[in-house]
Amino acid sequence: MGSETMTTVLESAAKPTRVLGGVLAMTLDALVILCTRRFSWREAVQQAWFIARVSLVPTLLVMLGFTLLVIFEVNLLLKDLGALDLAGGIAGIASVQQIGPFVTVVVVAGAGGTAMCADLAARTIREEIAAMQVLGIDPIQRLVVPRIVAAVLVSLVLNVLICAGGLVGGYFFSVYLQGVTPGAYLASIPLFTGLPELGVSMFKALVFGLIAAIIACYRGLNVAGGSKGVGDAVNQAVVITVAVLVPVSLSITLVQFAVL
Amino acid sequence: MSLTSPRLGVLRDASIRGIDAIGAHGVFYARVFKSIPRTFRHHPGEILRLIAELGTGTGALALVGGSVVIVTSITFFAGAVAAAQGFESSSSIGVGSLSPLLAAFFTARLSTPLLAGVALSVTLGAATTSQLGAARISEEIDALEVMAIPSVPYLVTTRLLAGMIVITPLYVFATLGGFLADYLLLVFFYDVGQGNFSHYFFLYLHPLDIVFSYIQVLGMVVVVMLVHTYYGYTAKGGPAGVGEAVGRSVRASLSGVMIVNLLIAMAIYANFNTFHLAG
Repeated sequence: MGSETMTTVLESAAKPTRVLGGVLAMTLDALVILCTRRFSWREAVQQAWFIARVSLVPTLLVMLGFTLLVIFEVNLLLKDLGALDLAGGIAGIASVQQIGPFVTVVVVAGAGGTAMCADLAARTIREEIAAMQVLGIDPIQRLVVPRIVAAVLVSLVLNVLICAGGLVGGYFFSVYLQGVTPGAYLASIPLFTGLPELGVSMFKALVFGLIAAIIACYRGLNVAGGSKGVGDAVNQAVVITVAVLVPVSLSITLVQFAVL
Repeated sequence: MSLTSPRLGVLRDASIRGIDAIGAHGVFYARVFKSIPRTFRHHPGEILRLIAELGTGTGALALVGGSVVIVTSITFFAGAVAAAQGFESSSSIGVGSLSPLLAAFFTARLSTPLLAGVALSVTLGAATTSQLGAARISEEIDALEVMAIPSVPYLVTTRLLAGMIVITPLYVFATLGGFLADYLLLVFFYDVGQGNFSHYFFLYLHPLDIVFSYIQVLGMVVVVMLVHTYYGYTAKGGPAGVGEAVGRSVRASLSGVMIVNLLIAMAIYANFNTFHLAG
Protein backbone atom coordinates (compact mmCIF):
# COMPACT_ATOMS: atom_id res chain seq x y z
CA MET A 1 0.00 0.00 0.00
CA GLY A 2 2.76 2.40 0.99
CA SER A 3 4.57 2.14 -2.31
CA GLU A 4 1.30 2.71 -4.18
CA THR A 5 0.70 6.00 -2.34
CA MET A 6 4.30 6.89 -3.08
CA THR A 7 3.77 6.29 -6.78
CA THR A 8 0.63 8.47 -6.79
CA VAL A 9 2.52 11.28 -5.06
CA LEU A 10 5.39 10.97 -7.53
CA GLU A 11 2.91 10.91 -10.42
CA SER A 12 1.21 14.11 -9.32
CA ALA A 13 4.57 15.76 -8.65
CA ALA A 14 5.81 14.81 -12.11
CA LYS A 15 2.71 16.18 -13.85
CA PRO A 16 3.72 19.86 -14.00
CA THR A 17 7.16 18.84 -15.28
CA ARG A 18 5.55 16.77 -18.00
CA VAL A 19 3.33 19.70 -19.01
CA LEU A 20 6.35 22.00 -19.15
CA GLY A 21 8.13 19.45 -21.32
CA GLY A 22 5.09 19.24 -23.57
CA VAL A 23 4.98 23.02 -24.00
CA LEU A 24 8.71 23.17 -24.81
CA ALA A 25 8.42 20.27 -27.27
CA MET A 26 5.53 21.97 -29.05
CA THR A 27 7.43 25.27 -29.18
CA LEU A 28 10.49 23.59 -30.69
CA ASP A 29 8.31 21.72 -33.19
CA ALA A 30 6.63 24.96 -34.16
CA LEU A 31 9.97 26.78 -34.55
CA VAL A 32 11.45 24.04 -36.71
CA ILE A 33 8.33 23.81 -38.85
CA LEU A 34 8.22 27.60 -39.20
CA CYS A 35 11.71 27.56 -40.72
CA THR A 36 11.55 24.38 -42.77
CA ARG A 37 8.05 23.68 -43.98
CA ARG A 38 5.54 25.57 -46.08
CA PHE A 39 3.89 28.37 -44.15
CA SER A 40 0.10 28.53 -44.40
CA TRP A 41 -0.43 32.20 -45.15
CA ARG A 42 -4.16 31.98 -45.47
CA GLU A 43 -4.63 30.59 -41.96
CA ALA A 44 -2.22 33.15 -40.51
CA VAL A 45 -4.05 36.09 -42.11
CA GLN A 46 -7.43 34.75 -41.03
CA GLN A 47 -6.20 34.21 -37.48
CA ALA A 48 -4.60 37.66 -37.32
CA TRP A 49 -7.90 39.19 -38.41
CA PHE A 50 -9.78 37.04 -35.88
CA ILE A 51 -7.50 37.97 -32.96
CA ALA A 52 -7.50 41.64 -33.91
CA ARG A 53 -11.29 41.64 -34.16
CA VAL A 54 -11.89 40.13 -30.73
CA SER A 55 -9.12 42.20 -29.09
CA LEU A 56 -9.76 45.68 -30.44
CA VAL A 57 -12.58 46.86 -28.16
CA PRO A 58 -11.12 45.33 -24.95
CA THR A 59 -7.76 46.90 -25.88
CA LEU A 60 -9.22 50.37 -26.08
CA LEU A 61 -11.24 50.02 -22.86
CA VAL A 62 -8.42 48.42 -20.84
CA MET A 63 -6.01 51.06 -22.16
CA LEU A 64 -8.39 53.83 -21.11
CA GLY A 65 -8.77 52.38 -17.61
CA PHE A 66 -5.17 51.42 -17.07
CA THR A 67 -3.06 54.16 -18.65
CA LEU A 68 -5.31 57.06 -17.85
CA LEU A 69 -5.63 56.02 -14.21
CA VAL A 70 -1.85 55.89 -13.84
CA ILE A 71 -1.39 59.26 -15.55
CA PHE A 72 -4.17 60.80 -13.47
CA GLU A 73 -2.67 59.63 -10.18
CA VAL A 74 0.90 60.49 -11.08
CA ASN A 75 -0.22 63.97 -12.03
CA LEU A 76 -1.65 64.36 -8.52
CA LEU A 77 1.79 63.44 -7.18
CA LEU A 78 3.57 65.79 -9.59
CA LYS A 79 1.21 68.64 -8.70
CA ASP A 80 2.21 68.24 -5.07
CA LEU A 81 5.88 68.21 -6.02
CA GLY A 82 5.40 71.29 -8.19
CA ALA A 83 6.67 69.40 -11.22
CA LEU A 84 3.55 69.25 -13.36
CA ASP A 85 5.60 70.13 -16.45
CA LEU A 86 7.03 66.59 -16.26
CA ALA A 87 3.57 65.11 -16.87
CA GLY A 88 4.42 64.21 -20.46
CA GLY A 89 7.57 62.38 -19.39
CA ILE A 90 5.62 60.30 -16.91
CA ALA A 91 2.95 59.61 -19.52
CA GLY A 92 5.75 58.38 -21.81
CA ILE A 93 7.14 56.07 -19.14
CA ALA A 94 3.67 54.86 -18.24
CA SER A 95 2.22 54.21 -21.64
CA VAL A 96 5.29 53.23 -23.67
CA GLN A 97 7.62 51.48 -21.25
CA GLN A 98 5.49 49.67 -18.70
CA ILE A 99 1.79 49.77 -19.27
CA GLY A 100 1.68 49.52 -23.04
CA PRO A 101 3.29 46.07 -23.17
CA PHE A 102 1.41 44.96 -20.09
CA VAL A 103 -1.99 45.95 -21.43
CA THR A 104 -1.01 44.21 -24.66
CA VAL A 105 -0.39 41.05 -22.66
CA VAL A 106 -3.60 41.22 -20.74
CA VAL A 107 -5.57 41.77 -23.90
CA VAL A 108 -3.74 39.25 -26.07
CA ALA A 109 -3.98 36.62 -23.33
CA GLY A 110 -7.45 37.55 -22.13
CA ALA A 111 -9.09 38.25 -25.47
CA GLY A 112 -7.05 36.65 -28.26
CA GLY A 113 -5.67 33.76 -26.20
CA THR A 114 -9.03 32.74 -24.76
CA ALA A 115 -10.71 32.85 -28.17
CA MET A 116 -7.86 30.87 -29.75
CA CYS A 117 -7.82 28.31 -26.92
CA ALA A 118 -11.60 27.88 -27.01
CA ASP A 119 -11.49 27.37 -30.78
CA LEU A 120 -8.72 24.75 -30.65
CA ALA A 121 -10.26 23.02 -27.63
CA ALA A 122 -13.60 22.77 -29.43
CA ARG A 123 -11.87 21.24 -32.45
CA THR A 124 -10.04 18.76 -30.22
CA ILE A 125 -13.27 17.76 -28.46
CA ARG A 126 -15.02 17.28 -31.82
CA GLU A 127 -12.02 15.11 -32.84
CA GLU A 128 -11.27 17.35 -35.79
CA ILE A 129 -7.59 17.39 -34.79
CA ALA A 130 -7.48 13.59 -34.70
CA ALA A 131 -9.14 13.54 -38.13
CA MET A 132 -6.51 15.92 -39.48
CA GLN A 133 -3.76 13.65 -38.18
CA VAL A 134 -5.42 10.65 -39.82
CA LEU A 135 -5.40 12.55 -43.11
CA GLY A 136 -1.66 13.11 -42.66
CA ILE A 137 -1.95 16.84 -41.93
CA ASP A 138 0.24 18.06 -39.10
CA PRO A 139 -1.90 20.21 -36.75
CA ILE A 140 1.20 22.06 -35.57
CA GLN A 141 2.07 23.13 -39.11
CA ARG A 142 -1.48 23.88 -40.17
CA LEU A 143 -2.91 25.34 -36.94
CA VAL A 144 -0.29 26.23 -34.34
CA VAL A 145 2.42 27.94 -36.40
CA PRO A 146 0.02 30.36 -38.15
CA ARG A 147 -1.64 31.19 -34.82
CA ILE A 148 1.69 31.97 -33.16
CA VAL A 149 2.74 34.22 -36.06
CA ALA A 150 -0.66 35.92 -36.06
CA ALA A 151 -0.64 36.52 -32.28
CA VAL A 152 2.85 38.04 -32.42
CA LEU A 153 1.89 40.32 -35.30
CA VAL A 154 -1.32 41.45 -33.64
CA SER A 155 0.38 42.10 -30.30
CA LEU A 156 2.97 44.30 -32.04
CA VAL A 157 0.20 46.27 -33.73
CA LEU A 158 -1.83 46.53 -30.53
CA ASN A 159 1.24 47.71 -28.63
CA VAL A 160 1.72 50.60 -31.05
CA LEU A 161 -1.97 51.43 -30.70
CA ILE A 162 -1.80 51.35 -26.90
CA CYS A 163 1.38 53.47 -26.72
CA ALA A 164 -0.07 56.10 -29.03
CA GLY A 165 -3.48 55.96 -27.38
CA GLY A 166 -1.96 56.33 -23.94
CA LEU A 167 0.04 59.40 -24.96
CA VAL A 168 -2.95 61.03 -26.66
CA GLY A 169 -5.33 60.14 -23.83
CA GLY A 170 -2.79 61.39 -21.30
CA TYR A 171 -2.62 64.66 -23.21
CA PHE A 172 -6.36 65.23 -22.91
CA PHE A 173 -6.40 64.16 -19.29
CA SER A 174 -3.41 66.26 -18.25
CA VAL A 175 -4.19 69.35 -20.29
CA TYR A 176 -7.97 69.60 -20.00
CA LEU A 177 -8.59 68.09 -16.56
CA GLN A 178 -5.45 68.78 -14.57
CA GLY A 179 -4.13 72.03 -15.99
CA VAL A 180 -0.81 71.00 -17.52
CA THR A 181 0.53 73.31 -20.24
CA PRO A 182 0.24 71.59 -23.64
CA GLY A 183 3.76 72.60 -24.69
CA ALA A 184 5.29 71.31 -21.46
CA TYR A 185 3.50 68.00 -21.88
CA LEU A 186 4.83 67.48 -25.39
CA ALA A 187 8.33 68.74 -24.59
CA SER A 188 8.80 66.42 -21.61
CA ILE A 189 7.86 63.17 -23.38
CA PRO A 190 11.35 62.61 -24.88
CA LEU A 191 13.03 63.24 -21.48
CA PHE A 192 12.50 59.66 -20.36
CA THR A 193 11.35 57.88 -23.51
CA GLY A 194 13.31 57.56 -26.72
CA LEU A 195 13.78 55.13 -29.58
CA PRO A 196 15.60 52.47 -27.47
CA GLU A 197 12.73 52.46 -24.96
CA LEU A 198 10.22 52.07 -27.78
CA GLY A 199 12.34 49.19 -29.08
CA VAL A 200 12.26 47.47 -25.70
CA SER A 201 8.52 48.03 -25.53
CA MET A 202 8.04 46.36 -28.92
CA PHE A 203 10.35 43.52 -27.89
CA LYS A 204 8.28 42.97 -24.76
CA ALA A 205 5.10 42.89 -26.81
CA LEU A 206 6.68 40.35 -29.16
CA VAL A 207 7.77 38.04 -26.33
CA PHE A 208 4.41 38.37 -24.58
CA GLY A 209 2.44 37.61 -27.72
CA LEU A 210 4.63 34.58 -28.40
CA ILE A 211 4.18 33.14 -24.90
CA ALA A 212 0.44 33.85 -24.84
CA ALA A 213 -0.06 32.10 -28.20
CA ILE A 214 2.04 29.07 -27.25
CA ILE A 215 0.22 28.53 -23.94
CA ALA A 216 -3.21 29.03 -25.54
CA CYS A 217 -2.45 26.59 -28.36
CA TYR A 218 -0.95 23.97 -26.06
CA ARG A 219 -3.84 24.09 -23.62
CA GLY A 220 -6.37 24.04 -26.46
CA LEU A 221 -4.84 21.01 -28.16
CA ASN A 222 -4.44 19.06 -24.90
CA VAL A 223 -7.97 19.37 -23.61
CA ALA A 224 -9.67 16.42 -21.93
CA GLY A 225 -13.17 15.82 -20.67
CA GLY A 226 -16.43 17.33 -21.85
CA SER A 227 -17.77 20.83 -21.48
CA LYS A 228 -16.15 21.27 -18.05
CA GLY A 229 -12.80 20.35 -19.58
CA VAL A 230 -13.06 23.00 -22.30
CA GLY A 231 -14.02 25.70 -19.82
CA ASP A 232 -11.19 24.71 -17.49
CA ALA A 233 -8.69 24.67 -20.36
CA VAL A 234 -9.53 28.24 -21.37
CA ASN A 235 -9.48 29.34 -17.74
CA GLN A 236 -6.09 27.74 -17.10
CA ALA A 237 -4.62 29.11 -20.30
CA VAL A 238 -5.38 32.69 -19.34
CA VAL A 239 -4.33 32.26 -15.69
CA ILE A 240 -1.04 30.62 -16.62
CA THR A 241 -0.30 33.24 -19.27
CA VAL A 242 -0.83 36.20 -16.94
CA ALA A 243 1.05 34.49 -14.10
CA VAL A 244 4.03 33.73 -16.39
CA LEU A 245 4.11 37.08 -18.14
CA VAL A 246 4.34 39.34 -15.09
CA PRO A 247 7.71 37.85 -13.97
CA VAL A 248 8.89 37.91 -17.60
CA SER A 249 8.01 41.60 -17.73
CA LEU A 250 10.05 42.21 -14.57
CA SER A 251 13.06 40.37 -16.01
CA ILE A 252 12.98 42.33 -19.26
CA THR A 253 12.63 45.59 -17.32
CA LEU A 254 15.61 44.79 -15.10
CA VAL A 255 17.76 43.77 -18.06
CA GLN A 256 16.72 46.95 -19.88
CA PHE A 257 17.83 49.13 -16.95
CA ALA A 258 21.11 47.25 -16.63
CA VAL A 259 21.92 47.57 -20.35
CA LEU A 260 20.47 50.88 -21.52
CA MET B 1 -32.76 51.32 -51.97
CA SER B 2 -35.53 51.11 -49.45
CA LEU B 3 -35.20 50.31 -45.76
CA THR B 4 -35.52 46.62 -46.53
CA SER B 5 -32.14 46.36 -48.25
CA PRO B 6 -30.24 43.42 -46.78
CA ARG B 7 -27.29 45.46 -45.53
CA LEU B 8 -29.51 47.86 -43.60
CA GLY B 9 -31.42 44.90 -42.25
CA VAL B 10 -28.22 43.37 -40.89
CA LEU B 11 -27.28 46.69 -39.30
CA ARG B 12 -30.72 47.05 -37.75
CA ASP B 13 -30.66 43.49 -36.40
CA ALA B 14 -27.21 44.04 -34.92
CA SER B 15 -28.23 47.20 -33.12
CA ILE B 16 -31.40 45.55 -31.81
CA ARG B 17 -29.31 42.62 -30.56
CA GLY B 18 -26.97 45.05 -28.81
CA ILE B 19 -29.84 46.75 -26.99
CA ASP B 20 -31.28 43.32 -26.21
CA ALA B 21 -27.99 42.23 -24.65
CA ILE B 22 -27.85 45.32 -22.41
CA GLY B 23 -31.38 44.58 -21.25
CA ALA B 24 -30.60 40.90 -20.64
CA HIS B 25 -27.57 41.85 -18.53
CA GLY B 26 -29.61 44.37 -16.54
CA VAL B 27 -32.46 41.98 -15.84
CA PHE B 28 -30.03 39.25 -14.78
CA TYR B 29 -28.17 41.56 -12.40
CA ALA B 30 -31.43 42.80 -10.93
CA ARG B 31 -32.48 39.19 -10.27
CA VAL B 32 -29.12 38.50 -8.61
CA PHE B 33 -29.38 41.48 -6.27
CA LYS B 34 -33.04 40.82 -5.53
CA SER B 35 -32.27 37.30 -4.31
CA ILE B 36 -29.58 38.31 -1.80
CA PRO B 37 -31.88 38.00 1.28
CA ARG B 38 -33.19 34.65 0.06
CA THR B 39 -29.65 33.39 -0.43
CA PHE B 40 -28.64 34.31 3.10
CA ARG B 41 -31.75 32.58 4.45
CA HIS B 42 -31.61 29.39 2.43
CA HIS B 43 -28.04 28.73 1.28
CA PRO B 44 -25.53 29.84 3.94
CA GLY B 45 -23.75 26.48 3.70
CA GLU B 46 -23.30 26.85 -0.05
CA ILE B 47 -21.74 30.30 0.46
CA LEU B 48 -19.22 28.80 2.90
CA ARG B 49 -18.38 25.98 0.49
CA LEU B 50 -17.86 28.46 -2.34
CA ILE B 51 -15.61 30.66 -0.20
CA ALA B 52 -13.32 27.69 0.35
CA GLU B 53 -13.47 26.74 -3.31
CA LEU B 54 -12.84 30.23 -4.70
CA GLY B 55 -9.96 30.80 -2.30
CA THR B 56 -8.12 27.63 -3.11
CA GLY B 57 -9.19 27.07 -6.71
CA THR B 58 -10.06 23.77 -8.34
CA GLY B 59 -8.24 21.22 -10.47
CA ALA B 60 -4.76 22.05 -11.69
CA LEU B 61 -4.90 25.55 -10.20
CA ALA B 62 -5.30 24.14 -6.69
CA LEU B 63 -2.03 22.29 -7.26
CA VAL B 64 -0.01 25.53 -7.17
CA GLY B 65 -1.97 26.93 -4.22
CA GLY B 66 -5.09 28.36 -5.82
CA SER B 67 -6.23 31.89 -6.42
CA VAL B 68 -4.50 33.28 -3.33
CA VAL B 69 -1.04 32.27 -4.52
CA ILE B 70 -1.69 33.33 -8.12
CA VAL B 71 -3.09 36.76 -7.21
CA THR B 72 -0.29 37.34 -4.69
CA SER B 73 2.45 36.38 -7.12
CA ILE B 74 0.99 38.65 -9.81
CA THR B 75 0.83 41.65 -7.48
CA PHE B 76 4.30 40.75 -6.15
CA PHE B 77 5.91 40.96 -9.59
CA ALA B 78 3.89 44.04 -10.51
CA GLY B 79 5.07 45.75 -7.32
CA ALA B 80 8.63 44.84 -8.27
CA VAL B 81 8.20 46.38 -11.74
CA ALA B 82 6.77 49.54 -10.16
CA ALA B 83 9.67 49.73 -7.69
CA ALA B 84 12.30 49.18 -10.41
CA GLN B 85 10.78 51.80 -12.71
CA GLY B 86 10.40 54.21 -9.79
CA PHE B 87 14.03 53.78 -8.76
CA GLU B 88 15.44 54.15 -12.27
CA SER B 89 13.32 57.19 -13.12
CA SER B 90 13.96 58.96 -9.83
CA SER B 91 17.69 58.28 -9.88
CA SER B 92 17.86 59.65 -13.43
CA ILE B 93 16.89 63.02 -11.94
CA GLY B 94 19.14 62.45 -8.93
CA VAL B 95 16.61 61.58 -6.21
CA GLY B 96 17.05 57.81 -6.13
CA SER B 97 16.89 57.76 -2.35
CA LEU B 98 13.31 59.01 -2.55
CA SER B 99 12.27 55.91 -4.49
CA PRO B 100 10.59 54.19 -1.46
CA LEU B 101 8.16 57.10 -1.50
CA LEU B 102 7.32 56.38 -5.13
CA ALA B 103 7.10 52.66 -4.39
CA ALA B 104 4.62 53.24 -1.56
CA PHE B 105 2.54 55.51 -3.77
CA PHE B 106 2.51 53.29 -6.86
CA THR B 107 2.11 49.96 -5.13
CA ALA B 108 -0.69 50.90 -2.77
CA ARG B 109 -2.66 53.07 -5.18
CA LEU B 110 -1.97 51.67 -8.63
CA SER B 111 -0.25 48.38 -9.16
CA THR B 112 -2.04 46.37 -6.46
CA PRO B 113 -5.64 47.34 -7.29
CA LEU B 114 -5.10 47.25 -11.06
CA LEU B 115 -3.29 43.94 -11.12
CA ALA B 116 -5.60 42.43 -8.52
CA GLY B 117 -8.47 43.35 -10.83
CA VAL B 118 -6.88 41.57 -13.77
CA ALA B 119 -5.96 38.59 -11.60
CA LEU B 120 -9.47 38.32 -10.14
CA SER B 121 -11.02 38.40 -13.55
CA VAL B 122 -8.82 35.60 -14.86
CA THR B 123 -8.82 33.40 -11.74
CA LEU B 124 -12.09 33.67 -9.81
CA GLY B 125 -14.07 34.96 -12.75
CA ALA B 126 -13.03 32.58 -15.49
CA ALA B 127 -13.35 29.59 -13.14
CA THR B 128 -16.89 30.66 -12.28
CA THR B 129 -17.89 30.97 -15.93
CA SER B 130 -16.43 27.57 -16.69
CA GLN B 131 -18.33 25.94 -13.78
CA LEU B 132 -21.67 27.55 -14.49
CA GLY B 133 -21.28 27.05 -18.22
CA ALA B 134 -20.61 23.34 -17.74
CA ALA B 135 -23.63 23.11 -15.40
CA ARG B 136 -25.81 24.82 -18.01
CA ILE B 137 -24.61 22.62 -20.88
CA SER B 138 -25.07 19.37 -18.93
CA GLU B 139 -28.58 20.59 -18.00
CA GLU B 140 -27.84 20.69 -14.28
CA ILE B 141 -29.35 24.17 -14.03
CA ASP B 142 -32.58 22.94 -15.64
CA ALA B 143 -32.57 20.01 -13.23
CA LEU B 144 -32.34 22.43 -10.29
CA GLU B 145 -35.34 24.37 -11.60
CA VAL B 146 -37.28 21.12 -12.01
CA MET B 147 -36.58 20.30 -8.36
CA ALA B 148 -38.09 23.71 -7.51
CA ILE B 149 -34.79 25.20 -6.37
CA PRO B 150 -34.52 28.70 -7.88
CA SER B 151 -31.18 28.57 -9.70
CA VAL B 152 -30.18 32.23 -9.49
CA PRO B 153 -30.01 32.45 -5.68
CA TYR B 154 -28.45 28.99 -5.37
CA LEU B 155 -25.81 29.29 -8.11
CA VAL B 156 -25.25 32.96 -8.88
CA THR B 157 -25.95 35.06 -5.78
CA THR B 158 -24.00 32.62 -3.61
CA ARG B 159 -21.01 33.12 -5.90
CA LEU B 160 -21.32 36.89 -5.81
CA LEU B 161 -21.45 36.91 -1.99
CA ALA B 162 -18.65 34.35 -1.66
CA GLY B 163 -16.49 36.44 -4.00
CA MET B 164 -17.14 39.57 -1.95
CA ILE B 165 -16.14 37.76 1.24
CA VAL B 166 -13.13 35.91 -0.11
CA ILE B 167 -11.73 39.14 -1.53
CA THR B 168 -10.74 40.40 1.93
CA PRO B 169 -8.04 37.80 2.71
CA LEU B 170 -7.05 37.78 -0.96
CA TYR B 171 -6.61 41.54 -0.92
CA VAL B 172 -4.51 41.39 2.26
CA PHE B 173 -2.14 38.88 0.68
CA ALA B 174 -2.04 40.80 -2.59
CA THR B 175 -1.12 44.08 -0.87
CA LEU B 176 1.49 42.44 1.33
CA GLY B 177 2.94 40.74 -1.76
CA GLY B 178 3.32 44.12 -3.46
CA PHE B 179 4.98 45.72 -0.42
CA LEU B 180 7.30 42.74 0.06
CA ALA B 181 8.42 43.10 -3.55
CA ASP B 182 9.15 46.82 -3.02
CA TYR B 183 11.23 46.00 0.03
CA LEU B 184 13.20 43.14 -1.50
CA LEU B 185 13.94 44.94 -4.75
CA LEU B 186 14.85 48.34 -3.32
CA VAL B 187 16.80 47.17 -0.27
CA PHE B 188 18.58 44.10 -1.63
CA PHE B 189 18.79 44.78 -5.35
CA TYR B 190 19.18 48.55 -5.55
CA ASP B 191 20.85 49.05 -2.12
CA VAL B 192 18.56 51.87 -1.06
CA GLY B 193 19.26 51.22 2.61
CA GLN B 194 16.87 49.67 5.08
CA GLY B 195 16.43 52.71 7.30
CA ASN B 196 15.91 54.97 4.31
CA PHE B 197 13.36 52.53 2.93
CA SER B 198 11.29 52.26 6.08
CA HIS B 199 11.46 56.01 6.72
CA TYR B 200 10.18 57.15 3.34
CA PHE B 201 7.95 54.15 2.71
CA PHE B 202 5.91 54.50 5.89
CA LEU B 203 6.05 58.31 5.84
CA TYR B 204 4.09 58.37 2.59
CA LEU B 205 2.03 55.22 2.95
CA HIS B 206 -1.22 56.80 4.01
CA PRO B 207 -3.54 54.30 5.75
CA LEU B 208 -6.53 55.74 3.88
CA ASP B 209 -4.87 54.83 0.56
CA ILE B 210 -5.12 51.18 1.56
CA VAL B 211 -8.77 51.56 2.53
CA PHE B 212 -9.48 53.25 -0.80
CA SER B 213 -7.69 50.60 -2.79
CA TYR B 214 -9.68 47.97 -0.88
CA ILE B 215 -12.87 49.77 -1.96
CA GLN B 216 -11.61 49.73 -5.55
CA VAL B 217 -10.95 46.00 -5.37
CA LEU B 218 -14.34 45.36 -3.79
CA GLY B 219 -16.04 47.25 -6.62
CA MET B 220 -14.06 45.27 -9.16
CA VAL B 221 -14.93 41.89 -7.64
CA VAL B 222 -18.65 42.71 -7.83
CA VAL B 223 -18.28 43.53 -11.53
CA VAL B 224 -16.17 40.41 -12.12
CA MET B 225 -18.60 38.03 -10.45
CA LEU B 226 -21.68 39.56 -12.11
CA VAL B 227 -20.22 39.52 -15.62
CA HIS B 228 -18.72 36.04 -15.32
CA THR B 229 -21.82 34.45 -13.79
CA TYR B 230 -23.95 36.01 -16.55
CA TYR B 231 -21.88 34.49 -19.33
CA GLY B 232 -21.68 31.12 -17.56
CA TYR B 233 -25.40 31.04 -16.75
CA THR B 234 -26.37 31.82 -20.35
CA ALA B 235 -23.78 29.57 -22.06
CA LYS B 236 -25.04 27.57 -25.01
CA GLY B 237 -23.73 25.44 -27.84
CA GLY B 238 -22.18 22.33 -26.31
CA PRO B 239 -18.66 21.97 -24.91
CA ALA B 240 -17.30 24.47 -27.45
CA GLY B 241 -19.85 26.98 -26.20
CA VAL B 242 -18.42 26.81 -22.67
CA GLY B 243 -14.96 27.69 -23.93
CA GLU B 244 -16.39 30.52 -25.98
CA ALA B 245 -18.36 31.79 -22.99
CA VAL B 246 -15.19 31.84 -20.86
CA GLY B 247 -13.35 33.85 -23.54
CA ARG B 248 -16.23 36.28 -24.00
CA SER B 249 -16.64 36.79 -20.26
CA VAL B 250 -12.91 37.48 -19.75
CA ARG B 251 -13.01 40.12 -22.50
CA ALA B 252 -16.12 41.76 -21.06
CA SER B 253 -15.00 41.71 -17.45
CA LEU B 254 -11.46 42.99 -18.17
CA SER B 255 -12.93 46.01 -19.92
CA GLY B 256 -15.57 46.51 -17.23
CA VAL B 257 -13.13 46.16 -14.35
CA MET B 258 -10.71 48.72 -15.74
CA ILE B 259 -13.42 51.30 -16.39
CA VAL B 260 -14.98 50.76 -12.95
CA ASN B 261 -11.57 51.10 -11.34
CA LEU B 262 -10.87 54.35 -13.20
CA LEU B 263 -14.23 55.79 -12.16
CA ILE B 264 -13.86 54.80 -8.49
CA ALA B 265 -10.31 56.16 -8.34
CA MET B 266 -11.31 59.45 -9.95
CA ALA B 267 -14.28 59.78 -7.63
CA ILE B 268 -12.06 59.22 -4.59
CA TYR B 269 -8.80 60.93 -5.37
CA ALA B 270 -9.99 63.91 -7.43
CA ASN B 271 -11.76 65.36 -4.40
CA PHE B 272 -9.77 63.90 -1.58
CA ASN B 273 -6.05 63.64 -2.14
CA THR B 274 -4.25 62.01 0.75
CA PHE B 275 -0.78 62.63 -0.67
CA HIS B 276 0.91 65.72 0.76
CA LEU B 277 4.65 65.94 0.30
CA ALA B 278 5.04 69.03 2.41
CA GLY B 279 2.80 67.69 5.17
